[in-house]
Amino acid sequence: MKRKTINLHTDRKMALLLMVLFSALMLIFNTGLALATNGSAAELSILLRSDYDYSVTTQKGFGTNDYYLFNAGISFASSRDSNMSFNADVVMQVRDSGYSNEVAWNADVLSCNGVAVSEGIARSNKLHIGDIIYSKHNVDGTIHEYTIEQILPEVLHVRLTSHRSFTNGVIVMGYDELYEENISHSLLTFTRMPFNDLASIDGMAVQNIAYRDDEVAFVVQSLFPYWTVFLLLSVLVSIISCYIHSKGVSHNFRRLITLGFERETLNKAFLKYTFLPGCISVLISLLLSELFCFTTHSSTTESLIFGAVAIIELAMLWLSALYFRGRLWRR
Amino acid sequence: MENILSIQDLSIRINKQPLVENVSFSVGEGEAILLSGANGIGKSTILKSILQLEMDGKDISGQIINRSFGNVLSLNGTELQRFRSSIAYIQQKDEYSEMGSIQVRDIISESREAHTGKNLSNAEVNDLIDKWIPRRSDGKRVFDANSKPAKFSGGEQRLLSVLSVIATRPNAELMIIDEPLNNLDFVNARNISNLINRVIKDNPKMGLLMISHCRIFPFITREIGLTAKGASLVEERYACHSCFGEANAEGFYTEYR
Repeated sequence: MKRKTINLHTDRKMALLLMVLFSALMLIFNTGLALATNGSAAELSILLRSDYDYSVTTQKGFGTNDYYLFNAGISFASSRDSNMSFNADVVMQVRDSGYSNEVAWNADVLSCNGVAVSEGIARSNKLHIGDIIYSKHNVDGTIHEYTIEQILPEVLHVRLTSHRSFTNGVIVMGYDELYEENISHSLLTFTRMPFNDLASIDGMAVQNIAYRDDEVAFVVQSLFPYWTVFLLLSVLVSIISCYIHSKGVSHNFRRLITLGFERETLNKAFLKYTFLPGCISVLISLLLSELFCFTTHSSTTESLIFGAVAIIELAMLWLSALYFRGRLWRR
Repeated sequence: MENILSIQDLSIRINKQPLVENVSFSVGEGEAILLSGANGIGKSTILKSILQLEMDGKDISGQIINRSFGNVLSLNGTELQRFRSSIAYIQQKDEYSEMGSIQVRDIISESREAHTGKNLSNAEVNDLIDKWIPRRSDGKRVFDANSKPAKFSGGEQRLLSVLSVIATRPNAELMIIDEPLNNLDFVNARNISNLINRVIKDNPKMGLLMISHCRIFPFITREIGLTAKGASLVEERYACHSCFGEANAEGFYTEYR
């Protein structure tokens, strides 16, 4: 009887333990990264899904993606008599402005007493569409009720500027004439219009330009150290895992080389015993990490990063296995 | 007498330091050659070089000609594995303790499988053990197919190493053995000598190249002495039977003394 595969007689308990350990380590790294960078990753996700070139504050709107920014603070709370307001960037829609997909967190046109809140604020305060939130009206001083008409995607800030705010989300108000007429304000516009065209419009004074590319670069810069450490740890763990697996079969592999088994058959068996367990560990940790992302509503950026790192880990496992195999043939 | 293996002007450098220089000798059909020399002179390195094992850091010049495969030093990876599978090679070190859950059956069956393409069942392995190793006085085998070599004594591991090759490759044209008696007690040393003698008797065309510091082997036909200056024929060989007594006329030890 002839066997199809060669057994390298690895210690099964040890190999299984190593697989579990490797999966657990990867899972810890993944969840650590997700927890440490979730806000920034969500921000990056929104920026990448948006399609405007820059945002700018002006004196008059463009008719698309315009928002009022009020100099007097407007805050919302979950109950009428609450002293704790939501830590959110608040903007108000402009009466005749349209809202397109160029800004990924844009809401549809809201009613005068309607608001849209971003997902993070809704989740942490258990708010749903149709719920009422409250705000002291800056003009008449009374407490107004606002109905949540929309939940926006996860977004922390309206935009990132040099004086970055540390808010947890965004609340968009429907147009309210009283605010426009009585409270000093500027207009915030998200646009793709070439900047030279903008400057040539009569009477257009623009301030505080924030290019989306710069915002992306800023967020990536803040995420980069986390990603680098995460990647290095993942690669290191992959190589160590492959090394330990290959150590476990090295004596048998050398014995089978000496016996004269076919090179190709031995090479396949080596990969089966070194690359495959690592591969399973990576896939298990990836699956559990994605599950974690799903249950904690982490951003798609996190999921993509986990996927990308898993691919790099698999590549490193493969290269490590080839290296250790070559080393055994030489030695 | 046709040469099975011919070594010509073999020089080996390890990490650029010369170890063996200009060694030449041959192994012919039916010859049993003992390669002798002081520790560290390069005997095992020559045997490993014949099989192209542990070549990292080694620089080899000269020729190692095998009758069937030509110059071993110029074989590609696939041809080299075929060459190795054709040789009955018993290495110096047994590393079964490092081989996980491996069983006697695996060791013996895989040696056969690499040589002939066919592996063995447990029953076939036990039959081979019975054929080649005498049972103990209590009628039990020294080890059987399911025994785990990781738990064996050094001597039992050595016995298994020799058996696994001899029992599965008795028709090989060349047998290479590196220190077969390491860790063995007198009884098992006599068993090993008898095993090797038996396979030589069964396959009279087989060539044997062996390293051993012990001189109990009655079947040796020629001794090559290795020194720093090269290899030369040892004219006045001596045999030592003080431990085991005299072998019989056919070279087998029958009685423990």
